[in-house]
Amino acid sequence: MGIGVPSSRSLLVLFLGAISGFSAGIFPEVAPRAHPPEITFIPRTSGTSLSEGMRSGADQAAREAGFRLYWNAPTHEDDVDRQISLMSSALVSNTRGLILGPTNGAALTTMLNAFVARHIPVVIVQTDTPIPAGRYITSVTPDQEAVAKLAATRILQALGNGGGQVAILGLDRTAPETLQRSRYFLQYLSGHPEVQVVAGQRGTSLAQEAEQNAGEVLDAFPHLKALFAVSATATAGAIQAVGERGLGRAVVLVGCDDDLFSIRNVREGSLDSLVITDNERVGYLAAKALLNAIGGRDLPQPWHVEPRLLTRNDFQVHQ
Amino acid sequence: MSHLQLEVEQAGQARAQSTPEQLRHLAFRDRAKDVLLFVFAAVVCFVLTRATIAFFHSPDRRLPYSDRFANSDNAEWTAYGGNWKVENGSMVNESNERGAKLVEGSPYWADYTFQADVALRSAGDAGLIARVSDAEQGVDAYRGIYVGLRTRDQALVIGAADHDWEEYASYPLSSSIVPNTWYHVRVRLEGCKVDAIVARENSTEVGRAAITMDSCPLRGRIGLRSYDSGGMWKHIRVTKLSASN
Repeated sequence: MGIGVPSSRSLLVLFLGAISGFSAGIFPEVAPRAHPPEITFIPRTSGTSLSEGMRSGADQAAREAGFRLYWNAPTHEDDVDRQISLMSSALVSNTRGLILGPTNGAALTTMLNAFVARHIPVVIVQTDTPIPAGRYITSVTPDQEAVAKLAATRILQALGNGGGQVAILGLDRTAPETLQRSRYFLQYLSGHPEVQVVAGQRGTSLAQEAEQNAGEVLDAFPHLKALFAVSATATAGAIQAVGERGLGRAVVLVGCDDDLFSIRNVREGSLDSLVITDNERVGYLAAKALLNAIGGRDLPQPWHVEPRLLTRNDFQVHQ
Repeated sequence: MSHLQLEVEQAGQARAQSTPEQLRHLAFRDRAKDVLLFVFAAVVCFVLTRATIAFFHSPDRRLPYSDRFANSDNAEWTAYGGNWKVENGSMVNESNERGAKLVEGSPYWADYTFQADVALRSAGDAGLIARVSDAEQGVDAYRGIYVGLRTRDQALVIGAADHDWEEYASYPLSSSIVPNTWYHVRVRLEGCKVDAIVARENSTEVGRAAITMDSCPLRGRIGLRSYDSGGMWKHIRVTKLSASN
């Protein structure tokens, strides 16, 4: 019998062989890969010194514990919709824990409650927790009272006995820490009648608008002696506004939170001083607390990290 | 009676007349034939499958690549943030969103030269991203290498992103970056060695940088990226690396 039409048995064998060969060929491409467990970090925005410092610390803590850190944030600090979307994705992807820098705390309470309801631990950074701290939610933030005290002390020192007019820049309801800093600053200065706080200007997440806001205050109060900018954006805007008006020597500018170029601004003298927190430490502590909670331990009570004042004199120390 | 039916009948008759020894021999022969057929089919399909995968994963596939944005159809590009449109033969990002990206190309491109004309629309930075993977909307939400022009320090910047940012070099340019002016940016990627050259539209070279990273993404797509400034891009070209380029 020569080569004729293959039998149905032969066709079946050929088919099974083909399937096996195809499966063996495709398997390396489609085989599920093992991923380490994941925690999520969503700051207000990314690509700033403040957020990147926190990321670095959190990443280190995650790696030490064998976890992967998922990191993403809105491209604009005020993009609350994007932050809700990222939180929602984290919830769907079964993240083991969340570190959040709330863009607008009041708008995020529903999402935060959803995490807490699922017993997924949450650590809030950058500002106080928008919902009460408890078993599944806490915060690691700068000590805002100490931030304000450092700034006030510096301004008093710079103004000397003569005192003068001072303005506060960057008050933003969606960033409650700016209001806290302002409140403590006013409390501290209330014992110094020679210093008059003449303005409390609104804040924004946009640098150009912050510059405009600072400019309005500088133009409205020509005898202003000092500015206290309570956020990184307000600080950046004030530096621009003061520089454009050539008031660098006339107005003492004290800022808060380091931005990409603010430390350089201190070194160069366009910013008198900057109240900063060790952001890497904040990120590390937040992730460590989260990972402990994932491991079954209780989250700690809200935690305040001490800030420090960076001036041109101690720039070398900071370096 | 068909030919097949006739063969089956003949085989049946032959088996009916066989001794037990002959039947065992026939059964063994059938099994051996089945095994050979199975192995043959498996090997052929395995080789074909791997060859197909190798073809689609080839770092040379779709190269050389160019896009002159001759029409408004840019469906092959994927946007991650920004507000993109084609205008007069160039791709424009009208948004000042930080880290807006537009990505195209094969995820398997490895060593290549990527060049384009780039213009910033305002202060900020804009440039090219290479070996891009894992892209999402977000400032540094991708894995890849960025080469761009930054107004803040008037520099040619080279860095790598892996959902974070590591800046490897910022070389001050010999003249200030002028918004809405075209700069030709050429990036050559070979392993973890990155060479970049920037020339103004009149061909005056204003910057050049070369770095070697300890580790880096080794393959990925290409993209356009801007940070704060928005931007314009035209004459996109990707070529396989060769001794000549």
